[in-house]
Amino acid sequence: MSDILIKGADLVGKGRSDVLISGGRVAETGSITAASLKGTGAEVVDADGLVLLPGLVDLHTHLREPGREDAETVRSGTRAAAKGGYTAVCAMANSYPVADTAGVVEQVAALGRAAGYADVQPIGAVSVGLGGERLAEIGAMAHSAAAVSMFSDDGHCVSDARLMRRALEYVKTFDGLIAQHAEEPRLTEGAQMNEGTVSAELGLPGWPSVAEESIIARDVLLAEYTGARIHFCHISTRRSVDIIREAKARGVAVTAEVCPHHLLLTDEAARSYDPVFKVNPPLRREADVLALRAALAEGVVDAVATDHAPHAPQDKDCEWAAARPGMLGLETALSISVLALGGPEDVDWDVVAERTSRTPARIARLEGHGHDPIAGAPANFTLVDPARSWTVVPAELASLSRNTPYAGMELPVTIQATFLRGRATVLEGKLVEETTV
Amino acid sequence: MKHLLTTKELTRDEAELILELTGQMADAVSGREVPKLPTLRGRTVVNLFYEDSTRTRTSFETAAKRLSADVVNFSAKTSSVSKGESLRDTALTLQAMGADAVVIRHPAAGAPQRLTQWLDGAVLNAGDGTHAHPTQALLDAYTMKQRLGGIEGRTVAVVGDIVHSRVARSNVWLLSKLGAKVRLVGPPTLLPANLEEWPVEVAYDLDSSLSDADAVMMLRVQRERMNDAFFPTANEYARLYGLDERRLALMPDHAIVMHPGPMNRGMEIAAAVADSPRATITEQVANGVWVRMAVLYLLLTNGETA
Repeated sequence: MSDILIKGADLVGKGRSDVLISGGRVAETGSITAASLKGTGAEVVDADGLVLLPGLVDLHTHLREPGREDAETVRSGTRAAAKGGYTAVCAMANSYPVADTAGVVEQVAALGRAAGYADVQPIGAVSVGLGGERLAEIGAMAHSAAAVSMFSDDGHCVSDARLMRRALEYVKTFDGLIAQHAEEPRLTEGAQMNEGTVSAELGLPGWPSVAEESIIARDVLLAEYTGARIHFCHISTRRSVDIIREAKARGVAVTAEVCPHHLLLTDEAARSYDPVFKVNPPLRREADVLALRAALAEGVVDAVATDHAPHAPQDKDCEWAAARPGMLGLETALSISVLALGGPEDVDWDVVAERTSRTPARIARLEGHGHDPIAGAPANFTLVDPARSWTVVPAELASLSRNTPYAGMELPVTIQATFLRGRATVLEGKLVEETTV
Repeated sequence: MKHLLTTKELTRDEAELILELTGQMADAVSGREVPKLPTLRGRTVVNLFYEDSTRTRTSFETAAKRLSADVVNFSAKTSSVSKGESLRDTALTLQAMGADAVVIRHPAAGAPQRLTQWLDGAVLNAGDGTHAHPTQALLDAYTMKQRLGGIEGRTVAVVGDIVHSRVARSNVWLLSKLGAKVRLVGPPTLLPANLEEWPVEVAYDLDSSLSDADAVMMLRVQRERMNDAFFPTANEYARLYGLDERRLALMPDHAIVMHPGPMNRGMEIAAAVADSPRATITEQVANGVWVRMAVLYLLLTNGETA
């Protein structure tokens, strides 16, 4: 692996600098002339006008492997991740078989290493088969080669208060984290979209915001009572923000993520009855979008997470009620985060780095990620062109699936390069094809 | 007009044109020895029904046949939208067979709108989930026009299970567009949440909602709803929201009682009320054929060959 010299990048908060990467780590920053590297064979990457971010970290990715390799594989999903600027993704547990044993999480982690496009950190299931009844072998997963620290029944709320309490207590033994999909299941039976003016008109059964908020309120209290850490997946409502803000003020160990689509789209999109806009939790109202944007800027919401959910064409090319929920997110997340945090002109790149890389890396305990380019740091970085916008063309995405809700939209900022432990996975906006570990 | 998917998307002019054509269809056919017009000869109308509804399907079939169209009944017997052939594949099949119009009844809201993306022919919504049932609302409006002399300024109370009713939704948009005052009456459990932006009044008490009503439209309430805590028992529902003779007496003398059928006698409507001369239930059925003729004619000819 040759050395890489990144010339003239804007280091967030530290001004313009060169960065020399050697042996997978940052060797040197400051002003480094190419001449001084004569003979070392370093590859020079011109980063004039580009922003160098710590590599993005996604707390919430569905890679679909094992089980639904027609929709996505670990390889295709991590290629999409790299193209979107990610160097690490947390793979959700709802594969087939479910990631509820050490064997499955080790397999997923190994597939990630073999593909080589991004580090894959498996998330383990809280309960056996995501069934919500018995605890999965959480300790075995934690102590496996995959070193799982985050557990979630994502897609299924851990609605049983007693099971949730036990899970919160149990993961304290190794400082683990429960990531809750907050959805009171009795309030959302048959639900198809946000409950509101639009659902009333469209005749689609509503998913009331209180179904999310009531679980968040309960689990904040359980975390406080047990002294455990809790993380909330994809929060989507204004009142959820309020509850989390209040809990943080009281010192509860709570973190929360928001998805790009909840920062941009509203339930008005459902009027098309096009299931590409069907997602769980559903697209909410404008007031929720604005509250989530403010909370992300403020830090009440800790991280942007994609909930990247690839689906095969037949699972979306149908009537709304028959469609599976979820949308692609990895390749569009940074653009939308920048948009939600003020747009490419006004955005504070330090906040972007915090919410898309440093904080999610801390939450997921990914020690090799979320580091700024200082000497000795692991070289996981993303180079962003803040001035170049792009148009989303589904057929050009690296994901195997095409269910992006942003087709045809022009989005700000492009990923020019991604570096995983000092090796380029993306250069000049294109995936590097010959990558091997 | 290319399709008829909802009454919300109709302009007032379009709605009035349909109602006017409805009258013309009734007059034209009623005078004939053979009750048939040659207008749609050689055109194919497919009835694509994913829910059992002999009433509505028969009404559409009769309407199409009276316009001399060829009618194909494509009965998609499946209780679940996730089973069997996909809607898209069925649409492509109908497209390949050359359907000029597809009349669709489907349990999933929005299915007719999806169909328009896969078919060149006209799509006519015969009821989709709890979303819309535009021809039912049009036949209701036509019936009111006949019985009340007009719709503008009239007060219509729609009573019962609003949240699960595509008939109620289609009536709200059409009647308010035509200048009527619409009042939705039912327990809060059977009203949609977030009605603030709808052009309606909302009332929880039936007795006090009747004295100024020109028409009272009773909706079918499924007894099984009580198992899901929408109301405690069928008896309590009938007591609070059923239209019986005592309540009929609270209505103005000229006011009519409507029901889209099929009725639960003794539940939302007492037998004596259903059979009273003030009930328009069988007229609604008869008018349904004229309305569906008018809509098929409009969609398939663009009103060119009157």
